[in-house]
This record gives sequence, structure tokens and C-alpha cells, in this order.
Amino acid sequence: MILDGKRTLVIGAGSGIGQATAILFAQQGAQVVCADLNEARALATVEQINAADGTAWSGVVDISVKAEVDAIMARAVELMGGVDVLVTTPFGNISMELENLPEAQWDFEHGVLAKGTLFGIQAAVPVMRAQHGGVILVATASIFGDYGAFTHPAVFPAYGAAKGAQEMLIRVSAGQFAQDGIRVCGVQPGFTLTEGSIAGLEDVGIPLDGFLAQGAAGMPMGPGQPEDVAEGFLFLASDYGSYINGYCLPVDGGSYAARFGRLLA
Amino acid sequence: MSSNSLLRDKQVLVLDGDDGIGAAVTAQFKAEGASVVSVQVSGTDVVAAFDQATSQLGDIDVVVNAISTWEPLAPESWTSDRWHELNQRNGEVAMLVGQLALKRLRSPGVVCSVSSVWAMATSPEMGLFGASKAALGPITKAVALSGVSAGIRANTVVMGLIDTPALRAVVEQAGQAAGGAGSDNLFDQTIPRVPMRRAGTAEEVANAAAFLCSGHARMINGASVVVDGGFLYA
Repeated sequence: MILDGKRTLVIGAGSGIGQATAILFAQQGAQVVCADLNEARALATVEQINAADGTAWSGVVDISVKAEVDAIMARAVELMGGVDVLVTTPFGNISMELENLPEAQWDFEHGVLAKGTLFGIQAAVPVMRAQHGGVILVATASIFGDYGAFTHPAVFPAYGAAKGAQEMLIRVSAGQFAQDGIRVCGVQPGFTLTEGSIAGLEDVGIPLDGFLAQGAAGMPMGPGQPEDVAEGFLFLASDYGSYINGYCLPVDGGSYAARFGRLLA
Repeated sequence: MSSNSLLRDKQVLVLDGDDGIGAAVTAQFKAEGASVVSVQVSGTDVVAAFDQATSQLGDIDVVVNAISTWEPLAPESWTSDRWHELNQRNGEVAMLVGQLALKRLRSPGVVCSVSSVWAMATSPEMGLFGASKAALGPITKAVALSGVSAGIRANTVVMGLIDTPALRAVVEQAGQAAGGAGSDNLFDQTIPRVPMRRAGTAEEVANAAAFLCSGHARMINGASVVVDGGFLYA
């Protein structure tokens, strides 16, 4: 199997892309600590993995709190003897408001996405350095964090800015820690059907049906499923991605390409 | 690395160049369970390559364009003849591969093209080569979008400093084109510029291509996947 013996910590494993990634990794032979803000959801993912003869444990973590991220990393090391792969996927509310964007919302988005990514990297590096190897993977920019897609370019200011911060953290840490045998990459999902993404649209008053109809031209292969995006994490976590570092992989069915191409070359 | 049968039962055409990448793709794709026909394309005769694969395999699922014609050349030495030659072998071949893939691959089909970081970043001596390779990005994305209705994906693997005898020679030639005296180890001297502090192997390029051509990558489409140890972004 593709991830035989890999010791993995997935933060955000209670739902959506994180859950699908935890399940796929376990199917591919990895041990997985499934951590989430919602402990019951993390446990449900673990039960699903264990029922399929996988190996998983649950944990609770608020990724925006450094001490909690350090603690879940320590627990993962205690349970598995080390951590070969860290995956972080949490995200929070989204809003299109800019002129009157509440400061608290800016702080929340940056707490979960930017600080959460920083804390994950800070927790993982000493562990992986001591092992002389590891992979840190972040669910990042997505079409909304890059320059936007569909009919509303760059629509979510706080979310998008925090996603941009994630990409820079990925690139900087990919350079700084490569000599320790650590690769750092991102996965950029296109619009993916998860509880979180659908709720996020509803929060800003956009019904899913209308969004999909309006955005169809920007989604050549339609919306993604969490299981599709999980495959991007599998690629980068595995030996198939052994020379990929500092790169953010779009898993979007061509949504970037449809929007004039993010990187034409 | 061990294989995981990612390409079991896939029928694959590999357009082979002479820099060691196509050979590694052929070997790795076979290890992953594919039936592979590897063809050295003469000029831009991509049709003949497809015909040969069809006659040997029947339907084709995957085509990998691993042709790179390398030409380190300082700007003062550029000529129209060189430019046309590079555009034919790098750009026009990619255009024909994409067009023929849309017509002739069976669904679900995949096109994977091999490009270079010199298409995205440059040094004076690699500029002409990079310009000819830069065509692969927009061509791949156009094929990716056109192919959706036919069930065909297209992606590009963008390779960095890769250690094959031919690619070592390219680095030495680039050094000479830059006015250097020439040395036997310019390639090794370049390695510290790679964050991972090593060159990649042809197998690592082939492995990335294998994943992209497999069903696991069913939602990866129109991407330029950079396989460079962090050279470009880190």
C-alpha cells in the first residue's frame, strides 16, 4: 500500500477533507491520529477506520491555540513513536465583507488558518528533524485564496488573506527545513462539497444550488468530493511526491485553468 | 520504491526523448502495471507514434510526452534556425500530442507532459529553451479544459535539477554558454541551490507522472506539478 507504516497526524479529521484524508491514509496502510475541534466527530472517524481494520486514535485540538497543537503532536508521538506526516485542514467562517469586516473575524480567520499553519509547522519540525524526515501538508489557498474564481474574483477578504499567509508559510518552511529531510507542501482544493463549505455559503446567503449553477463554467469537472481532494494529500505524502517541496497542488478538476490559468507555464 | 500497481491494465504511449526521463517513465509505468509502447519521435511525427502504439496495444489510455530538446544558448548565439527547431520539438510536439490525445485516447484518458523549471524561471542560457517549453503550460490547460467532456485529463510535470547523464551534460553546456571555462562538476556545484540539497532522479519524475496518470488523480486537471525539491518556490 502507498503509505505502509507511515505515522500520520491529521488535524481536522472530524469532517470534510480532513476526514476523507484520514480514511484514505488508513486504507493505504498509514496509522492515523485523527484530531479535531469536535472530539465526537474525531472519534466517529476513528471508529470508521478501525471498523475497516485500520489503525487510528482520536484527539481533540483547537489549531489556533499553540499549546493545544503542541499537545496533540506530543500525544501522536507517544501513540505512534513519531510522526511522519502532518496534515492540517481546518477552516472557519467566510465572509465577503471588507469595508466593515469585523476585526474579530479577521483575527478568527488568521487564528485558524495562518496561526494554525504556523503552530502545526512549529510542532512538527522538531519531531521530524529528530527522525531525519517528514512531510507537512496544509489544505491551502483554494480558488478563493488565490485570486478567486467563478463570477466573483477574490471574494473572501479575511479568509483569502489568511490562505495567502498559509502559502507563504509553506514556501518559507519548505526552504528552511528541507535540509532536515522535511518537505512542506499544500493542497489547493477547488470547490469541494463538504458540510463546512456548504454551511459557509449559507452563512453568506448563497444557496448551494444557485452557487453550483452560477459557478459551473468555473468548475469544468464540477465540484469536488472530499475523497478526491484527499488523493492530493496522498500523492504529496507518499514517495510519489518525494521530490516535490514548497509546492501547492491544485486538486480542482481544472478550475484554475478555467480562470485563465494561475500559472500558465 | 516499490510499486503499487497504480497503472494496472493501462495502455500507455511514451514519447521518449534522449535525456533519460522517458526511459525512466517507461520503466516505472511498466512497474506500476501498465503496458507501454515507447517511441522515439522523428521530428514532429507524433501521428506515427500514435499509430505505432495503436497497432501494438489497441486502445490507448495514457500518453506521456517526455520529449525535451535541450539547447543551452546565450542570447548572442540565438538564431532563428535554433528557435524553430526548439519550437518544433518542444512546442509543436506538445500541441500535436494534445490534439491527438483528445481524438484518440479512450476515456478515462490522461495526457502528461514533461516540462522544466526553465519554463517558469530563467537564466540567460536557458531562456530560449525555457521559452519553447513554456508553451506546454497553456497547451496542457487548453487540452485539460477541452478534454473534460471526453473524459480526458491533462497535466504537466515541471522538473527541476534531475540527475541523468544527459541532463548533467546540459548543465555543463549551460556553464560553457555562460562563458565559463567548463568543469566536470558544475552540476554538483548547482545542487546547493536546491533546498533539498540534492538533485532529483529520473525515477522521481516518473513517479510523479505515474500518480498523475492514475485514477488517484481523477480530480487533478490542468495542473503544472513542480517536481524540483523546492528550487522554484522554497
